[in-house]
Amino acid sequence: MILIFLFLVNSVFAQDIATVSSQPATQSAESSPSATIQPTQTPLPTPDLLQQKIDQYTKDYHYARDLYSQAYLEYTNKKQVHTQYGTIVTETEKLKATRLAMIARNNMMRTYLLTLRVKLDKYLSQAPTETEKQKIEINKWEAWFEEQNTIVNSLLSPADFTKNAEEFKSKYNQIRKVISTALVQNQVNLSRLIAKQIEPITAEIATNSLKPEGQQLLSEIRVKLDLSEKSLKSAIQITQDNQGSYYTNDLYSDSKGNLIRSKDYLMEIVSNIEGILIRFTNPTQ
Amino acid sequence: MTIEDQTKNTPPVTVNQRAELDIDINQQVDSEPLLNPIKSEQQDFETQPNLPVKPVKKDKKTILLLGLLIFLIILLTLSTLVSTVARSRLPKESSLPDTSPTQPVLPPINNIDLTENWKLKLAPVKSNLKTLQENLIQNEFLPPALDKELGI
Repeated sequence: MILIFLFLVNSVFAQDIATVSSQPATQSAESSPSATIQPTQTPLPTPDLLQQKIDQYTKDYHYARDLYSQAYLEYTNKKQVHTQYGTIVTETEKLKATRLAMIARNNMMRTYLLTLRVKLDKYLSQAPTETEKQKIEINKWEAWFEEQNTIVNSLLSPADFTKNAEEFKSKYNQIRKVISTALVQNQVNLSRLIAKQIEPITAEIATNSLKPEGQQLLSEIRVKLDLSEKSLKSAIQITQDNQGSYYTNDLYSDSKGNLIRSKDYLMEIVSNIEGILIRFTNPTQ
Repeated sequence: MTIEDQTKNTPPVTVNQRAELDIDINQQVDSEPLLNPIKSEQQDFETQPNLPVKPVKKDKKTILLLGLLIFLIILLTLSTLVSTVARSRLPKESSLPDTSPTQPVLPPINNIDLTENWKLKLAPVKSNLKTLQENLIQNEFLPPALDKELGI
């Protein structure tokens, strides 16, 4: 009952957010973040509830992203005006718009990281230790963005703003690595779940009176499962090898080839299983 | 008797007789229907057997091209018809869409004579594979682009 009540309250909040999305970003960016985007340390919910949670956080993130776009547009306008007129008034206006855009950006990143962290729960059981490690890393950066909002509010001079922007740029490279690693981990977890689901099926097929061709296909399936796992390990390795370096490329894109290869093996396996079941097994099965 | 003699023997026509004759001739002319000048021209044209008609040059090349064009149209129509028929006979797509060029083609579910038992066992695998594939195509949940700096 409590869960149903919470869900209903959540839905109402989501509707409220949707209705005020047309408000200017400058107003909303200053307001405190909604209750739905706070990190939670509760035990893992059921799959349905977890999916609802993910959907809700994804909506929050999209809303925060829209606010950031509006705030950034306002910032560029004020910057242009100041470049044209160069008065004290226009400079004050520009600094104010910059501050609001920075806060909107921090909120957007925080909601993004929160959503990603909750998404990791979906296939957590496949690699609990590694996935929890990723979640802790993400949580750390969520807190960092929260802290940044306080810092941004204390910035006064244009020099302070410039310094802060430079610091953010260097930090964002580290954040991107954490994000890429988490994304790869999530895909690896899902692939491993599929492989785990396939194993009992192949074991059951093996107990049937298979024709020789069926036996051969079955051994091929085992080889492909190994190859799939090998590709997954390579995908993870790419993210680990470049963690400490000044490697700024997108690690997720670099690992993607291995993830796709693994997925292709899994698809071939399913195809082979169906082939065996149709052609080489006892029809009564 | 020559024409001259006849002329000589003919009594001279009086003024009254002449007038009567004129009236008679006029009446005869009025009673004849007027001929349509256009019609008569057409008749003239039709009756003339060898009018200079501009000869149509049937170039062999043009005929060949025209023939080829007709042949192509027929070929195209036939191929469209055949492909439509073939497509309508194909089984419906499987529940696992395959868009990547390297992916193996899974046999369509409808054609597989699997028992319900095996179908049930394979269903979660297929569902998860579909999710995995969609994630990889849509680049999962990538971070927002922050290339634009908020510098002063």
